[in-house]
Amino acid sequence: MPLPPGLSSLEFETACQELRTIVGDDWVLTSEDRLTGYADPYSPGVAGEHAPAGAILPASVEAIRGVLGVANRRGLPLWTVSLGRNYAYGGAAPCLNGSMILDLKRMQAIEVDAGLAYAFVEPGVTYLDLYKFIQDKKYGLWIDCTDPGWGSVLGNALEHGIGYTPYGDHAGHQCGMEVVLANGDMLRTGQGAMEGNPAWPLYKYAFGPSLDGLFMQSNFGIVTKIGVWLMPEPETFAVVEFLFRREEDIAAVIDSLRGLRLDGTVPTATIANWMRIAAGNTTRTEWYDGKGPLPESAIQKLIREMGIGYWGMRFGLYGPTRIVAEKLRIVEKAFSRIDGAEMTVAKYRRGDKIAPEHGTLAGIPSVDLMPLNWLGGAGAHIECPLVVPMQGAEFLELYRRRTELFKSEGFDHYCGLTSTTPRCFINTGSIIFDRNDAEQCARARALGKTLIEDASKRHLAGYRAHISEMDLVAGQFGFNDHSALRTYERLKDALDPEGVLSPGKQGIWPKALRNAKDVEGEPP
Amino acid sequence: MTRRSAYPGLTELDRRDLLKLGGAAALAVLAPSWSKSVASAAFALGAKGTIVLADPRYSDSLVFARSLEREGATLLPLASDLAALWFDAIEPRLKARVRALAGLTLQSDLFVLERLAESSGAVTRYVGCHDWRCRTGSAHRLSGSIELDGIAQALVSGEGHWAEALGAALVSTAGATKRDEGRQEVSMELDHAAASDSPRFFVSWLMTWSI
Repeated sequence: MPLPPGLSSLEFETACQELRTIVGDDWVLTSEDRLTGYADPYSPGVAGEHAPAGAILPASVEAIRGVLGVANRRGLPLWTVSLGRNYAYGGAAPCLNGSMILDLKRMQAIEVDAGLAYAFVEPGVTYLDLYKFIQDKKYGLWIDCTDPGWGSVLGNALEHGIGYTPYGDHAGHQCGMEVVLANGDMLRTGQGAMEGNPAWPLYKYAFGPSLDGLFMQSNFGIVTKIGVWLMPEPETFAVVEFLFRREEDIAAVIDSLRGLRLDGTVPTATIANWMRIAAGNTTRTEWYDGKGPLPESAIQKLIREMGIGYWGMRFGLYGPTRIVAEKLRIVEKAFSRIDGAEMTVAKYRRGDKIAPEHGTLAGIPSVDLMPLNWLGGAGAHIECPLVVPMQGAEFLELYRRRTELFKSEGFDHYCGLTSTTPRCFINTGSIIFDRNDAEQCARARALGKTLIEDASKRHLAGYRAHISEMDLVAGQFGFNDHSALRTYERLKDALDPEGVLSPGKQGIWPKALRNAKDVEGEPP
Repeated sequence: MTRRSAYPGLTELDRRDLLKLGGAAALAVLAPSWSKSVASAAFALGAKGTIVLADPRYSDSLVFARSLEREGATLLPLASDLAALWFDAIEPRLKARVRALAGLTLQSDLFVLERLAESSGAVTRYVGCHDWRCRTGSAHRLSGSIELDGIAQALVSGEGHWAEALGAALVSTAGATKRDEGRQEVSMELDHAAASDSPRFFVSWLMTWSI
């Protein structure tokens, strides 16, 4: 395993000895066989550039403060993960080769207030854990979960992750945060800054600046607890699914949906192209066994035989029965103007058993990674999902451009649009590849970079990125000579002067490494 | 606008759920054609204490699972939600002396199960990749810390019933032989035909828990 930059093996071992006195021998990992789980499982051939020196697993805030003392004193870079399930963006692997993984999976506390409909969770709590906790207590509350649902509730919220219910904007439904700063100081955000204030998990704002956002997608502190809002189980839940026949239909679909999102009729929506639908259910060789992207004839065969559209759209409607019924009428009318559109509705009353295929719309976590099998082999994917305005014609142009870019590297275009905020989509474009195939890895990397650069020319950017592309994306936010990044760096230098917290996260490097990067032109 | 009574769905709608009933029926009618002649009672420990997972979408997966079931393994159909399968059906059985988990599945199923099983101390001792993509014959790459020669030999001689031969050989090898001196790898190009419903890339695998 690599050593932390600037530390000799003796110095590293000394640091590890000190860490063992804080967390115990079993929770400082340095042998290769115990670190395999911290490698990026979807790495497109760059795992060697993002390997950890070791891992440390504290179980309490006090232990974290002790770890920080050692890290600051010894110059040990820490890469914080909740569970490390940030797959497609690097998993648990660090930006900086030789970082020590600060793994918070042992912190698993859950508190729920059923009356005010919120939970406090620590980093090690998965969506599966939180769902089970609430079900076991029969609280009549729904969570919102990602798909797959095995990741950390806290970690996903910090990464601006998304789900599929009206609470699908996870950062937007976070309220209240507890943070350990690099110097070991602990702070509570918002109303939590007042000892015992019951509004901490209820009201997002502070008396003064709101700090929560500073600790999301950042390396300014270690978040040890957040509040998340929960949704009361609705009286009626309707699953609405559409198919649309033609590629160009997407323009009208988006323009129709926009009105329904803005007026609140539809609380969130997900749109998928043929490839995303097919990859969720089949493998590519079932349709075509040649090299390169699927030819048009195979795509048409797939659409015909699966009985799908070029596009599918799905969303839930939630609330009192009469209101859901009226919303269904509005929705049907809105999309009926699109020739060939087909609509399906499934309805559930409170307490009904929900079919597995509708689970994510009801906040029921599951784990299924079927799309990874699209090409066969050791399936993996990377992506840099764009934030795109909800404008039909503009998106159609972007879609066609990205299809050409996928084709140019020999991949099928996997496209999804998820609207958890009413004016924008998150546009996923998964590059699925065989991680054991060096040639495919190289093409996947090249396509990923091309997609990011092409988006930037259109003044669009990813909302997340793989660890190997964080500098590239961060550099694209260049307004006024990168004043945003310069501000982040000033904050970094003030809050973490030794630069021990997650160096390189979102392109934010501590001063020493930043200077080295400027000289060498490459990330350290 | 047309209203449909059924919709083939987005990613969450999994054919595995739709086909579950069909799969159960298939499990019942797939008669053993070959296995008894090879997988005899002479095999040391058999597959007792083993759970084998079968993907009802694919006949090769079913045949493989049945070959282990005949040796005493408990057969469970794969569900689209692997977390539910793990927490509801597999993990509780670990306390009841289940010591191994095996399957011939899609690669993503192994990927997920390895991560779900990680905290329980599971070790993946064998993985075989079986590849029919963009080729006329089949390519097989076996790796693991168990003895692979018997598995390789079964594959070589298993034309027409490779999945069944593979399952039987895995029971034999995993039960009778322990190879702790490191990982071994074997690669082979064979002329085995893929089943008509094959995804054209399978992984066979075995993970174990120490007693």
